[in-house]
Amino acid sequence: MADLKHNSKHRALALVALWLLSGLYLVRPEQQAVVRLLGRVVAESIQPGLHWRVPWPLTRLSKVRISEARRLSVGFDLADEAAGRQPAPGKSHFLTGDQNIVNLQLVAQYCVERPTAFLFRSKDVGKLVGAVVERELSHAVEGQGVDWVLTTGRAQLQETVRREAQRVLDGYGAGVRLVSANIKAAYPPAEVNDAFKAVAGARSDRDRIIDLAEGYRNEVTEQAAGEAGKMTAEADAYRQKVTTEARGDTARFASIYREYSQAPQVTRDRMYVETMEELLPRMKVIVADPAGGTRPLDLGILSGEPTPNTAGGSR
Amino acid sequence: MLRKRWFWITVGVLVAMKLCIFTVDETQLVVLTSFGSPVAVVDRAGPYLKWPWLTKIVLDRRLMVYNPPASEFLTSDKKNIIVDNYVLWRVKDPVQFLKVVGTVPAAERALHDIVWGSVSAALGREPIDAVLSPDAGQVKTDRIMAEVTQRCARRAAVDYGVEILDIAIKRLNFPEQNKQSVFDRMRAERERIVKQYRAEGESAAMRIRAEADKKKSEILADAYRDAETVKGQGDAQASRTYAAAYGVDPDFYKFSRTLDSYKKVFGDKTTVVLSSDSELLRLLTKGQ
Repeated sequence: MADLKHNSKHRALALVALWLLSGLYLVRPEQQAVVRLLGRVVAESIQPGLHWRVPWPLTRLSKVRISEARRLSVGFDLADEAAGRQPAPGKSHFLTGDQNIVNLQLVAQYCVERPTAFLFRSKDVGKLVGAVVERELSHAVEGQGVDWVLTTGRAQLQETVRREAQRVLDGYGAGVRLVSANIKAAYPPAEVNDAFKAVAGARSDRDRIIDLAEGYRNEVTEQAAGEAGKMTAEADAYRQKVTTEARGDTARFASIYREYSQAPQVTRDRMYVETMEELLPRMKVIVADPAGGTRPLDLGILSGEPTPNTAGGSR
Repeated sequence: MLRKRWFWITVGVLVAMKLCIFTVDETQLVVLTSFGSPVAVVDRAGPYLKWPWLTKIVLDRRLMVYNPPASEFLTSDKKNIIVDNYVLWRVKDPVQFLKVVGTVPAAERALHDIVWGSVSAALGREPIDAVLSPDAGQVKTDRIMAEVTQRCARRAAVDYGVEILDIAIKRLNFPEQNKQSVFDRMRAERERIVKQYRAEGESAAMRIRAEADKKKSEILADAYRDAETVKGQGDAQASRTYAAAYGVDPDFYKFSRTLDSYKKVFGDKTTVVLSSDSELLRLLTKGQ
């Protein structure tokens, strides 16, 4: 009897020890844990490592993967994407400020910032974040034209959606952080796609026409610059020529004049006669006697040419 | 005998604990009722004692997102628009909640009615520009929905014991039967833009070409002016050189220059008539 009692005491102690041991738990590096004792939170955001708590059923342990990026989609279903299906028509339709319809597909990623808020603040965090992101995407395009949304506005749109949705979620105390909101696709509805393509074509036509005109401008101005350079060079050459010739001419004159000033009359006569010698053989010469001679002395007969009827006057 | 007694005592204590002790989780609101009528509300988490005859009803205290079905509304300028809302709500007054609605689906049906009415009234007072405008400053969606939220929150709190934190527009759309005319309008707008691009391209090209031609004639005129200036300077410099050199004896210059010009002017096509008493021929005719 005593032995039995002793034995059962051991057994009870062993059971108690086992129960206490069951309070050990491990928080992995990507996790944080929250412990509730009899319903009330007694430890929030327990960091990774080995910990002990008062065992079940007095406490409840919740581990939250805090660094995991959770994905959600707006304008299409992630399941459709995985299966390679197109979203149902109309699911991606958003209205822009100029009352156009545009297809938008967005993927957002969020992670847990405060585990207690994530666990206890709202019933379905994913649904809440999705609704807020969709709201901000709608709101961001309600004040913009379709061209902005489809072309230049994408980066700004993403940033606005992320920032504004984060602000709203913080206001709700959701305890999550939006990591990104990326526009996966933005395209006009199929019904008007060709009209949008025509605009893109016209835009590139416009750019091409302007490029051509700019090419013409470059060509023409280059050509004019070339011509201008030629004119300048020619003018320089002309100046060079006339000034050098002037120096040459005057040098020649100076040397002749030096001779001339030695013996003016002789030089003068010599120059005159030499010039005549050079000139007269090449020319037809008619000599007329002014002292009453009616017929000029015709030297032209020597070359066998007919005599002109008229006689010129004297020099 | 002794062990049997201990066993029954333990069972009795456990049953008593089960009946008298209860815990409230962070996610819960608890209403204690005595034969159906509520006697106490516990809205803080932790362990509590109660009389064994009281029963507890557990409600979820967390925020819930309710998506009413998207509905068509008419703006003040008679435009049909489909609005998809979400309502963020939670149980605030559990006693009132249990008395009037009781369950979450019933609460959502009730919320749908008041939200629909309020959105309908609010949008009916605004033109479509208030929710859709290319000028972001014109869009008053936030203000409109803040008013809707405030009005609905007041009613929901009093009537259903529900706190509405926010009502917001998730998505706007045009009714399916209107979409074709929207597409037609979009198409016309695109065609206008195509024409505009064409015109822009042509006028810009024309302007660029005209500017180029103008630039060309400017460059050439400038170059002509500069070239003529340079030539003139050359001529002037040459002229100065000549004047300085010939000024020494203008008479001799005239003589020698005239002789030079004879050489250039007269050739084999020239006929000269010389008087026999000219300087050159005097010797020939007169012998002296």
